[in-house]
Parts: sequence; C-alpha cells; structure tokens
Amino acid sequence: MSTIKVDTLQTRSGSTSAVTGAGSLKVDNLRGNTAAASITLGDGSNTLGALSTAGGVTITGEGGTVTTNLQQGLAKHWCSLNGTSTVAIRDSFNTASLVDSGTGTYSITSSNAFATAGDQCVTAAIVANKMQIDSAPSATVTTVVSKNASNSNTDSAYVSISCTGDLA
Amino acid sequence: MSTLVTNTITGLSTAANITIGSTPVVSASANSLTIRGEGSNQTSIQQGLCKCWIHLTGSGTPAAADSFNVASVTDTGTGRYTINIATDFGNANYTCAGMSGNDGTTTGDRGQVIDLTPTAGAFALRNIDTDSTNPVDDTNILLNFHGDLA
Repeated sequence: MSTIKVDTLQTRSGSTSAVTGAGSLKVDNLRGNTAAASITLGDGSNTLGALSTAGGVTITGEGGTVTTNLQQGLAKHWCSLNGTSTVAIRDSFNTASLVDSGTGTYSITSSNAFATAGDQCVTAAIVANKMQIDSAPSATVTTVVSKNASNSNTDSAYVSISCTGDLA
Repeated sequence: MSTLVTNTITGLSTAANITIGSTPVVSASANSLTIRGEGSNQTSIQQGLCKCWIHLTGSGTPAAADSFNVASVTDTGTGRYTINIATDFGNANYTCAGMSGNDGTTTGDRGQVIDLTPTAGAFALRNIDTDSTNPVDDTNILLNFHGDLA
C-alpha cells in the first residue's frame, strides 16, 4: 500500500487544481478502473453500471441481486391540474402547457418530447369517476377525458397524469 | 479495485457538469440533478422519481402489501382509505394515478376518486365501481404519487 498525501493536485497544464485540501475532487469524467462502465459508490453497497451505454445507466435494486435502469425508471412528465372553470396546472414536471379541449377534456403538452409518438405509458386518475385517453398521444401531447357515471364528459377538480417512456 | 475517497466531486471544466462513463450528469441548481435520458434530452432525477407508492390490500383489514414512503393506511369506510405519507410532500399539488381490482374476479369497472381535499401528508381515496359509483373494497389497489418533496 502506497499513500500519497497532497494538499493540491494540478492538471498537467498547471493552471487548475484538480484536488484541493478541502476534500473536493474536480474532474470532468468518471470511469471505472477495473471495468470502465462500472463504478461503486459509498460503502460499496450500490453500483452504477452500463455507464458506456447512452441512456442506460443501471443501479442496484432494493433486493441487491438485480439492477434496474435509472433513466427508464424515471417519470418523464407529470401534471396535476384543476380541470374546473378556467383550467390550471397545480404542479407539474416537463409540462409546457395545458389546454381546455372541451368539457372534461384536457390536452397536456410536454416540454421535452418523447422519442416516439404514443410510445409513452400514461397513467391518469383521480377524478369524478373515470379517466380515458381521448385521442392518440403524440410525442408531446397527451389528451385525456374525465367521465361521469353516465359516461358523459365532466369537468373534474383533480386530474393527474404521469408518463414514463423514452425521451427524444 | 481502485477506491477514491472524497467528499465532493466537482466538474473541472464546468463546475456543475460531470460525465459518468458516457452519461452527462448536471447539478446546476440546488436539489435538481439532471441526467441525459434515452436520447439527447436531459431529465431531472428528483422530479422523475416516484416519491410514494403502495400496493394496498383493500379488503378485510386494509394493509400495505408493499409500499414506499407510506407511514400507515387508515380504513375510513367501505372502499375508502387514507394513505398517510411518511415524508411529506412540499405541497398538496402532487399527482396520483392508480388502478384496482380483485384477483381475477372483478365485476364492473373501477375508478379511483379523491375523497377529501389532499394534504401534503395524507391522501384520501375512494375506490369505486364506475357503473354504480358505489365505493368498493378491492384486494388490489395500486397507487403511485409524483410531486415535490418538502
């Protein structure tokens, strides 16, 4: 075991400190040493893998035996809205706009598009009675409709959608 | 095996930018870490994470078959449940999506309705038969929540 103790480590140009005495490391790229695509974090309990695959970073799951894809597991777009009177976004992520498309019908446009129209998985709820997809989703627009017990369109105070899928 | 021990990692060229393998990760503002998605766009890790989910066994004595960030479940009547969130959201404006049914014996359609005005720490759900609009207990009630934590 060899130990190098140093307060400041500079790049070869000598102009920038890469390691400072405060315990900070400045670096642009991190790669695994044994395997370039794998880095273990913290006490060794969690490993980031598949680092050489764009969009495919994996992380150890809760059980510790399999890995799951970090990017694929993230919701890419969600919106909580008030669908009565003048429709309004309560809170959202990656949402560009909300349009009142008729009674109980709401078109939500995402800021960053999905890679393929209709490829995103949409879950929508929690309203007067039930929610449906109103028209085929595009890569950016999801239109949902709220229905009452008689299957008629009805405005709802609480409408939620969340979308997972591949970003463009 | 090589081990690097440090407290903080900062981008050298641009302090907020670090590339891990071939994946750019950007920490441009507090509590917002972005990662490149499947294509070329960046997406927020924190905003994309499901902050609370539950597989609720809603029949008999309601209980979580499995859950994340759920403190407890309160039975408030037939088909009515309050999900008490362990680490609260920052506000009551989070999203909730769900579905329900029994183990292959569901009759009628199902819907999930907000039973009371949501709060940052509790969500009151009414699970209904959409044909009759009556609240019903179901063996499987699945919910996930997205929003901003406190």
